[in-house]
Amino acid sequence: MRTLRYLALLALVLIIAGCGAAPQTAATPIVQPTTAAEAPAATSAATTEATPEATAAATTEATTEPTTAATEPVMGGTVTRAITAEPTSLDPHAAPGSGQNIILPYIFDTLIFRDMDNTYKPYLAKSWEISEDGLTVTFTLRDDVTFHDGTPLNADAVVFTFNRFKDAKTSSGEGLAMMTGVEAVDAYTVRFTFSAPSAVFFSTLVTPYAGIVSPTAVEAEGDAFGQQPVGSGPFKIAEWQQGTAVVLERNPDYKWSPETISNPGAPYIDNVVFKVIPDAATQLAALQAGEVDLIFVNSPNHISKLTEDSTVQLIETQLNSMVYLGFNCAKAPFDDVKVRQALSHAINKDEILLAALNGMGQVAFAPMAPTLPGFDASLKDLELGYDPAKATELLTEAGFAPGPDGTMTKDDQALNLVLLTFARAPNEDVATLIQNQLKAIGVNVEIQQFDTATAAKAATEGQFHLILWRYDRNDADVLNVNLHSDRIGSSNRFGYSNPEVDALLDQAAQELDETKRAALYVEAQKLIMPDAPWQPLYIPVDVLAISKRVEGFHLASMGRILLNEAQVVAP
Amino acid sequence: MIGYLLKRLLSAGLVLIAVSMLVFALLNVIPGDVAQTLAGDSASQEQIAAKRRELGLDRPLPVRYLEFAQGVVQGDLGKSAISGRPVSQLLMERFAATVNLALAALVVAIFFGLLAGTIAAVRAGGYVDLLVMMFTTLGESLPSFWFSLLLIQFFALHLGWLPVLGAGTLAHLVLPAISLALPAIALIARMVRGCLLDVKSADFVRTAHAKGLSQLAVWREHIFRNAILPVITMLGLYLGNLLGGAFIIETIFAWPGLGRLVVQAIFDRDFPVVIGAVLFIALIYQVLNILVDLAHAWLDPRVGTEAM
Repeated sequence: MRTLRYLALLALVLIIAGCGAAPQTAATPIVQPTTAAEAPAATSAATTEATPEATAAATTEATTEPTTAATEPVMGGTVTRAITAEPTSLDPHAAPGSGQNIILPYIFDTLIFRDMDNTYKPYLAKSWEISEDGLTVTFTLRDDVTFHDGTPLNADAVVFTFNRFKDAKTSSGEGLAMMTGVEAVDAYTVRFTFSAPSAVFFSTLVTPYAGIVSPTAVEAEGDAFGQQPVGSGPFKIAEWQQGTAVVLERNPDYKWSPETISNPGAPYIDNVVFKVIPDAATQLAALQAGEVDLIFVNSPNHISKLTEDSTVQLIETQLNSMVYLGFNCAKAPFDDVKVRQALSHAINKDEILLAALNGMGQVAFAPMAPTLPGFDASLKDLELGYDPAKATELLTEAGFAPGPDGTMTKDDQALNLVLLTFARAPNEDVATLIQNQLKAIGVNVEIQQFDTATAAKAATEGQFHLILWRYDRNDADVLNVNLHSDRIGSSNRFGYSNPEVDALLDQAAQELDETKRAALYVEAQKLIMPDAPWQPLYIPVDVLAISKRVEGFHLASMGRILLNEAQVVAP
Repeated sequence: MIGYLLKRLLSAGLVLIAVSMLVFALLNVIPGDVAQTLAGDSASQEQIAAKRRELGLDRPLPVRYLEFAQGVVQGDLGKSAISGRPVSQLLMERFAATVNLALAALVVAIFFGLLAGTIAAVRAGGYVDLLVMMFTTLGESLPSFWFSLLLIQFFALHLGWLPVLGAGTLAHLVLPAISLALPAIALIARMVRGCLLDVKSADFVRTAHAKGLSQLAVWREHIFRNAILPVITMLGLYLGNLLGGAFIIETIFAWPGLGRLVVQAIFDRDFPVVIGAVLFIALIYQVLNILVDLAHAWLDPRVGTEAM
């Protein structure tokens, strides 16, 4: 069956190649990687896998300018956005989930704002100061901000929020690990103290999970706060129709939006509705029928369908994400670096991109995504590129020889490997291609595809040889999380350990100078790439489809779509 | 009769206990648990272990089961491990939507099923019969997700008559109800046709004809009445099926029903919700079963309650 499938894919590739018209539809121009301060450990891989919305990062500078910019804005109306999963809670400090991180930024403001160029801008904090030793950070807050319930947003509210956030002990708060305390210096000054300089602190501050909550509301509502969240954002909760939709209404008192947003005051539109639509085909139909205004599209078929639709505009967003093939370095045969290198050389990434992704996205070569600091084009030289002859040579060096059925064998142990992945398009196609590419060098692969929770559990327990996985993370600390030996047994599922790499990663985690930090990550990658714990495969692309009846979407960093400037220009 | 009812209630209770034990045990062998969901993907083993302790998941299975059972007896299904909301509240919010959809589908299924089945039986062996039978084969074998998308394409996008998704108005109900009813229409039509044909050749029908009754009277008074019993039994059980939640249809039409709640809870490993919902669905089945049996006994005096 798999062979048939492969043949079909191959045939497709040949046809496309034969026509001399390889699809170039999604050749997104990649913005030069910035060395600016980096962003958030937004969410962990497992929670965001279901939702590109979560971290859809923003390399595409795309603010759809209202055509009515010069004239009075169009007031009123509703913008409807499809979400795949209903949030379980809208409490920023609840467990990180797929639904809420899309909605939270509309309800809650954060201390600072992360701009499209990855620099930090004032938001609730007018200014901030980092001490010489990097152990204290002091924020001066705006003094004119109130929560939706009328409570003033002051230093006490910020202290309350961050104590609560740290106490919640969720993975979204792990960027606060080095934080030892937070205190109100005066009514509008807050000081954070740290046991060691923390490079991920600022990127944690701009995650939706660091939204400032109203202490009065939290105390009054208790457990119900997740259903009746109270923040200071441009929209406030109006109604939660369980299982159907979350409805927000404009906050008429809003006047503290970050300065990159042209409208400093309350939003022009009256309501934002988040409609729960689990099925991607239905989302597409709903957009075309005008029942929703905004969806994320993953499927190449759906994207080509929408390019023919004149009522919809498409914006490509490049995520701070990567899909990679990981090796279980703790387990034979991948405890031998030569075997990892051999299999890396057997992977044809161009074929994967063309056959499984319709040519969308771009081939990856280094562990760091191109949009994260610490990416460096020169690392391409260290890539273990497609070279089947080299692969066979390395396997032979490692002591393997073709067995009776052609499978590479060593000490009577044939290379029959388990490839683990989670259920999400196009993982199955990619896995099948890998299976066939490895077959070509005499390696048998059994694909095991599970739902996210099951796959994550199997991955954490190391029940695999090969793992087809994806990260979505807006901070360069993605390497610390995945490849530091301290994380073996939890997020370092690869059993990868290199003391020199650990030392560089530790140093980077405490380096507050972004240029120096990026350089440390480049050095770390120079050591990681020959070790081959991962073969980076490709950088996925997600497309945002927006109805033309709405204008003025503001695409911000981390894939946020701000609606402060949005106007409904057609009924 | 009272004795029979008591016996049925007792067995229903035993079934529910068995279901709850089975589900409880099953949920504990599937990999992954809510502690991991709550702590997040990159959490350390210690963090996960701490969450597990916090939730009481580190205690032995029988202890947790007994605690759960105690709660259920007192009418408390517990709270969602993820949102912290009471399970009974979550179930009730979703159950209304499920009942709406199930009843609408049942009405559609009964109407078209009876109509098609009766026409086929009256014209048994003819072209109409052949057409109806072809349709029923098709209706039973069409995958519902595909049929639903087809309906959306045609009625919502092409013609623009009906909304694509959502719940609330009667218009929202039409497409999901038809999708859900399609296999039931086919099933009912086949069953009605079969039963009618069975009864048609019975001795008492021949007698009725011999008495000189009109064709219509024979069909209405004798054939139809006798043929409808097994259909009612089937309908009762089928309603249980519909009320158990139609996950695929609910997902496609974004219908806020029970099926979606359960499946989402399974993905989140939110076990209190899963167990509560499964128990609730099992309860519905039991109640409908008893009602069907009682209706049967009431409609057909020959069904001796003693024999059951």
